[in-house]
Amino acid sequence: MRAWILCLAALGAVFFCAPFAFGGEWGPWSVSPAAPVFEQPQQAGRRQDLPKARLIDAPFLGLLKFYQLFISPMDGDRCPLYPTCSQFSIQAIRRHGPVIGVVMTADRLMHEADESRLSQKVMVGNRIRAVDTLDDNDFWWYRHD
Amino acid sequence: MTRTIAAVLLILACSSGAAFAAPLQITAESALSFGDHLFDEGDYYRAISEYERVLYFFPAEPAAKAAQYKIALSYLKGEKWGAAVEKFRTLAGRYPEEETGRKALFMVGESYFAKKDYAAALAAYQEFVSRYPQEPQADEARVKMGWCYLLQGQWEQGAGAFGGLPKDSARHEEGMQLAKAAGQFPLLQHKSPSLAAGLSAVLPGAGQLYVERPKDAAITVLLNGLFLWGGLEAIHRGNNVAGGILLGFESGWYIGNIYNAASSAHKYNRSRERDFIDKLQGEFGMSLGRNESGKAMLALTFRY
Repeated sequence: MRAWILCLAALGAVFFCAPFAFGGEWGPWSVSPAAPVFEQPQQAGRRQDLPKARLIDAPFLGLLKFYQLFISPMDGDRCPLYPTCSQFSIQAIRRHGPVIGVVMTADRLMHEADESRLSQKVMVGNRIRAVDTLDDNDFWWYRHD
Repeated sequence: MTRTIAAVLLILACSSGAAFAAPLQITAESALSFGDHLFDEGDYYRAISEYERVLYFFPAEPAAKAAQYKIALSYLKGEKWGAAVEKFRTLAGRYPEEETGRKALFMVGESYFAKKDYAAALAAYQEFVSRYPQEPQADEARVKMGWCYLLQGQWEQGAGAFGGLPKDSARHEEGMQLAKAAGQFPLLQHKSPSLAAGLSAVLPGAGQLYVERPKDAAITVLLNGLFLWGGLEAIHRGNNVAGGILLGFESGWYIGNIYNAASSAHKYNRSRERDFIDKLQGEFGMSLGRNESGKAMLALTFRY
């Protein structure tokens, strides 16, 4: 019984501390490969500042998640861009809502061909993809602060 | 028995020797030097710990001020922009009349510049120039102000900042050349986003052709054409539900096509501006690369 209480207390402590481990700029970090730490900082540019999903987004996000979980694995890895079109769509809907999100998704699906020719390339897994982030598609009207 | 006595004597000899050995003395300079060693290795996180040690054990030593500056610099080199700005700002406020404070204020601008927050960097450089116009770094700050304007697409102000370098400055000639080069910014070939969107509104794909994206244009024509034809054909045959669904999808493709044309025009313009600034920076000795997103990635050399 005491062992169980101790285990639960330890687990509680871990979960309590976990948010602090990711907070701000504290914790071990390094930009030098010669002096690595447990987890390298993210080097691939700005993190997408996404708000929490709203209730109105839920059906769209649900459909996209269904696609990602059940259809995409059968359909195969075909998107030449990074992030993939479905992930881009999720980000667009979460940032701008379903109406603009759907328009931006249609735009994304239509500009795959030339974008993969013009954009910077990045190795994702074992495949080279062209980078086309949400920031690259709304920079002309949305301020990223 | 003899062995035991010998062992005891040996232990006694060793322990008395250890008692006479000089204890390790760490001075502020040696701790700072070890921090510098870690800093040079690129191990900025641990270097900060060593500099903090100097501050804790030797707060009154001259090395403490250097340690504070190096902590801020470690944050900057470690790409912790927020912490770097905060530390440099603290130093600038604490020692406004000393070289450390002046350098720290300049480094506030450098931190924002490295963070690619050009508006904040511009404000910091302006503050530096207005407070310390005679400092050797003031000319560097004026040049950086010009770059900040240019990187925000404000070429006129950029040219003005470059051209505003004092005549007795060693960088006056460079500033004039930069101002002249920045004057070519409006001559860059641009595409009108409004025209691109208008063309695509009239004929899907036309705006994409205008912004030199032929493959996108073909896909746009195909998608819009197929969904429009399919929807109308379904309604014509009395299948209103299927027709409505197809036309609903078509409305998404149509609006997406207009957005795509406008967005592509903006991307085209941004790409031309980036190429221009890259060329300028290459000519005038600033090292700017691009990261995976194609965004400017600055390689700066700090003098400290």
